[in-house]
Amino acid sequence: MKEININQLEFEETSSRDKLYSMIESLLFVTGEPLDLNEIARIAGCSYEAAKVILDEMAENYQKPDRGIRLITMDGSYSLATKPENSSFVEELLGSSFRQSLSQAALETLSIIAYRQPVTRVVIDEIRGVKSERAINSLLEKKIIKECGRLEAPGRPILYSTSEEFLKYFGLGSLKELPGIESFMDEL
Amino acid sequence: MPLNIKLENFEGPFDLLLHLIKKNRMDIYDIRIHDITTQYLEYIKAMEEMDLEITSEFILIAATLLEIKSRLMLPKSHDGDEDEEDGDNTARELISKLTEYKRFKIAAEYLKGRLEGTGALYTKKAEIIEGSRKAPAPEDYLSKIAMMDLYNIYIKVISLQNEKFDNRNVFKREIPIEKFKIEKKMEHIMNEIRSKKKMKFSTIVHGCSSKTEAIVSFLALLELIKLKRVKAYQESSFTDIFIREEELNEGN
Repeated sequence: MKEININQLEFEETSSRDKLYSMIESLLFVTGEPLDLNEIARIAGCSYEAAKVILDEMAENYQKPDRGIRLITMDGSYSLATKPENSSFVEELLGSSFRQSLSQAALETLSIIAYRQPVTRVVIDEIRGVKSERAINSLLEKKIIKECGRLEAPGRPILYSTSEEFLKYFGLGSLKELPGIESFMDEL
Repeated sequence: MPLNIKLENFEGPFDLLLHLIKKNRMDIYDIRIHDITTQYLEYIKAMEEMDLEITSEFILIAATLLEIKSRLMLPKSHDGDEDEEDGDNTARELISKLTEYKRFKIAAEYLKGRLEGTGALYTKKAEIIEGSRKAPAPEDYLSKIAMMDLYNIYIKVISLQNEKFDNRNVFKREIPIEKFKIEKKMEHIMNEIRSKKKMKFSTIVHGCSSKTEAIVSFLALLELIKLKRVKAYQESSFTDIFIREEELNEGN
């Protein structure tokens, strides 16, 4: 397996970087599903860091106004998606939108999960001051949130986190694109 | 006096409280507890009159408000009363819960805005790549097999099939009285072993007249092993089981 050193990337012939870039792009194109960074590096035969550098670059390149594709990332997995600005055209082609509106309860519950993940139902109930079971179930049904293990505490309650579907639903490239929860304090 | 409270749909007691604070143009950190409590209770009363379900969460906050309010009416003592501190804590706790809830309510507003203002992202379905791994060709997996091997395998399969229809293995319509007893079989096995020192389990099975007898023999063997009266050996699965008598401990 050929290891590619990131520091050497610039010095080596650009063709090797270009080759790696195009290889990774092909992998992402063909899988459709989120592809783990380790898996990408393994198949492309390069180091984890080199693959990461290429992917960061790719994400930036897709930001150009003439690109219709975006790179979305979650939990160290990457996948290609269409640009949110083009969603109405995509929807016309597909003949439907997968998004449905969410109730106020669901939105409140989702915002708590998004900012506090992984989080248990009890914590959500406490913050909202009301039971949130139904909201959680409807979010689970829409696959916007997922169960992500259990808290090692009495009763081993289920932990919830947002899913990749959440990013797609809200047109986000990664969770980092969510504004920090502190920014909402200014409005208090 | 007619009640002119417009009943809005609130997500919960915190939502209602935030609404009342906003309506009264109060600061969340500087609530006029008397006004808020009165209005909160009025709202609950209106809910009651409209036969709306008042959940325990609403009652809990009503109780909390009344507690804070009643503590405020008590004269303040200077030497930091414990009760007073508790009261302060209740109020502080309520305020911190309210601010936290409000923050997430704004976050929810933000998400709602994104849902309306930003398009969704679409991804492809996972690719189904067929024929990427070809099934091996017959000449590959048959290359090391001679005609004779196939014949032998065939004979073995057929004889296994015939064995299934062995008369001994067919259930009779009548259910016979229990002819074989584990205790008897254990005795039988022990006697056999004592005379032969070592024997194969298959010889016992072959001497059986029915499936039931074979099963009872096997159970008897298991029982003898458990009682440590015999030792059983088997090289690998489905091979013959050898049995010999357990050597008694010298102390015994």
